[in-house]
Amino acid sequence: MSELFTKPTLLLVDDEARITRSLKMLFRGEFDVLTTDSGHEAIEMARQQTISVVISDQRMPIMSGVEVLRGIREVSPNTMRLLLTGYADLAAVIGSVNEGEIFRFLQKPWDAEQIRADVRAAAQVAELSFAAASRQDLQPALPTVKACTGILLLDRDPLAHELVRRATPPSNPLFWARDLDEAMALLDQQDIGVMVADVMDGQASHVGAIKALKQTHPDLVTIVLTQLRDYELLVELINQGQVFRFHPKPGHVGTFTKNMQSALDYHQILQLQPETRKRHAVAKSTKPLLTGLSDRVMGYFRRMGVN
Amino acid sequence: MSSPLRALLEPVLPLSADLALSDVTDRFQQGGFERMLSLAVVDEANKPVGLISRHALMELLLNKYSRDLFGKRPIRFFMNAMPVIVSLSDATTEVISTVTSQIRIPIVEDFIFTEIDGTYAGMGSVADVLKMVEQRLGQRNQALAKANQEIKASQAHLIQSEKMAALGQMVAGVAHEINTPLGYVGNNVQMAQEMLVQIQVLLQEYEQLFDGLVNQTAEPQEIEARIQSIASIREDFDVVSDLADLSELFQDTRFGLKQIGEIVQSLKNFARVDRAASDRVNLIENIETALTVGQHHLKNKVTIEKRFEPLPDVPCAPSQINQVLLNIFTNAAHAITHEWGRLLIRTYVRGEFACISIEDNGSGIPEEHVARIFEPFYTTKKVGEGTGLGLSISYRIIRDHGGDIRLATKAGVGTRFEISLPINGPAASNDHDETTDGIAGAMAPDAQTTAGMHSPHHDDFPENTIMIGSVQA
Repeated sequence: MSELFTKPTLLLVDDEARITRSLKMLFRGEFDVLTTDSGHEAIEMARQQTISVVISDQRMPIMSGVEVLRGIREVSPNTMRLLLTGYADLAAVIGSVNEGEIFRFLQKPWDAEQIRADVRAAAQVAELSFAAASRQDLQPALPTVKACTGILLLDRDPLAHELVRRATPPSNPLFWARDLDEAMALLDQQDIGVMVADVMDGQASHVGAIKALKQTHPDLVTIVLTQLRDYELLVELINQGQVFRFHPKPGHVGTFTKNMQSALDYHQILQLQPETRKRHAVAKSTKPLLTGLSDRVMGYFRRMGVN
Repeated sequence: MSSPLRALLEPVLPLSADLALSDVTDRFQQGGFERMLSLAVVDEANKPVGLISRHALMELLLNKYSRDLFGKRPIRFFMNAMPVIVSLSDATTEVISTVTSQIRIPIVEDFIFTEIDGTYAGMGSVADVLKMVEQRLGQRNQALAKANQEIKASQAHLIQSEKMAALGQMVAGVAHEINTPLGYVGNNVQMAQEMLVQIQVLLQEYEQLFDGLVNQTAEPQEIEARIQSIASIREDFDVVSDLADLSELFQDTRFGLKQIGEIVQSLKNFARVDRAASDRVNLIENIETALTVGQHHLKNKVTIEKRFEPLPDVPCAPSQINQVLLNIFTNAAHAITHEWGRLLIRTYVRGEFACISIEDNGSGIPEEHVARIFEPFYTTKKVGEGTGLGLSISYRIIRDHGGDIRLATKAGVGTRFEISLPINGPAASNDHDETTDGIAGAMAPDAQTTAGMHSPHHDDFPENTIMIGSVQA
């Protein structure tokens, strides 16, 4: 039986073997599953082979999950990264986004259906990213993306505006929206690639808006600029808002400029990806399983003298 | 000028120094200043030069013929030339202290107020000053009582927040310890359920095939379809290997449930909710419980070496002792920042005391901090990481048990805590100090130490509480 489709590879990293054993069994139908309890080994695996998705535990000896995912991001940026944790401090949540650029923040105990859906979604994105990367290899002459990608600030705070203004390159226009309606209007009228937003504006929460805008504008790269330190809220923003960076308020211009540049670069990568988001083929072969079955069965029964 | 002194001022007219004694007597009888015990005497410039009291006048007039003899003489010959004089521009407290210190007993005179320029302003009654003093004392008492209340409240609040911080840390650790087994247990059960559906479908097909064959009712095509269907299910589901996997899943699941059970049990032991508050307790069990509850701090970081000599059961409040042990374990974990962390826990009996020694090879405590680590609110941790009450509460708990906590530490080498508890309870711990030399020796087997150097200078705690020595790693 020839494999028409190769399964994508899923790497599981956890120092508790029962976790990797359990998840391996959950995913082995759809993925080639690799497991390790060592962060160093995980990074080495990602360097040597194409790994579509990695799920790492956060709290492990020697290397934390955030460190493992950051290492994998460096050697294989197209590998989709998910953090799975029993309990993480706020620093780990923020680190997972800013350093690990994770796709999902998963919590133990998890729901099997939910984690399947998340990993499948990650695998689809990985397939597109790897395909886009190989196309780029074929066409070394990269189309230079317009440098005039707009930046949108959704925050009334004048200090935030000052910070973003100073971090914005001169070639990129900056638009300032005081509320969600203004933001929507600007997004429709202007070519905007990066949004900087606070999660709270006085009493009003922007969480819903950030999530909704990511759905209507999938290419929009979001930097959350906030002094809020709420674990659950940040996890929600990662998983449903695909926030690209968390930046503490009041921000430091130097680090914020770096974050801004990364966001603009990432937006460029998103633009280069194909629009077609085909599902990853995991169909089974359809050829007949056994041939001439009835003859063989009847022959057997005849020999037994049944018929 | 709205000095509170103005309220004391009685603006009665003064007497001229040249006024005759008999005129002065008439003035006193005229009325209008019944409240006054005395009147001021002023010179031509309206500056007070003396004071004459009703009392002095009466003494004078009690002598026979004195009115006839002295009636025409000016008052300045009879006045008190050294009256108490205060200025309205003086501070109230200063006036109070001048009046109360200079006034003569029994009180027969008032005192004189002057304006800033020294001219006469009026009289003041000593009784009014005393009333004012009483009022002020009352106010101050109230303020003190309020301040005292506030201090007590904020102390209780801090102790409570320390408890909550410790609890929060513990919950975080325990959540992680429980969520990991819960993660695979839940996943395994979900997968087992899915597998059960496959097994059901497969068994149904087998059953129908079996029935068809045994009852000989089935047509060959039907049997073929049945067998095709079974073969197709088998493509997805391998009875031998998948059932073996399922069995392994269940094994892991049972392990995970046992682990969760153990964690819950250790939490229960830790809080001792189901035990009497004070009991004869096996301290080694307490150590194991505190280690389980604190394992998320220690796991992956520290090798734990236990050298337990058997201890007799000790009367104590086990949940409090657990709190002390967890505190010391957590501190040790925080002090270890390298990858070769080691925690040596020993138990032994010394005289009438059951002892627990906990030794880490962490960063040690710098000498400048050592003398203060049992002080309430002393902390070197960042704001929000610790209130600095952990060790002071630990110290209190152990002292209340009639025991002692001592430590030896050296920066860069490590720290050793020793907890000693009286085997026969607090009453039997009078001879405790005799063991002091013993521990100093034990802490510093080599003569190269500074043991005991700092302890005599420490006022807040009994002598020899704190020992500094080199920990032999």
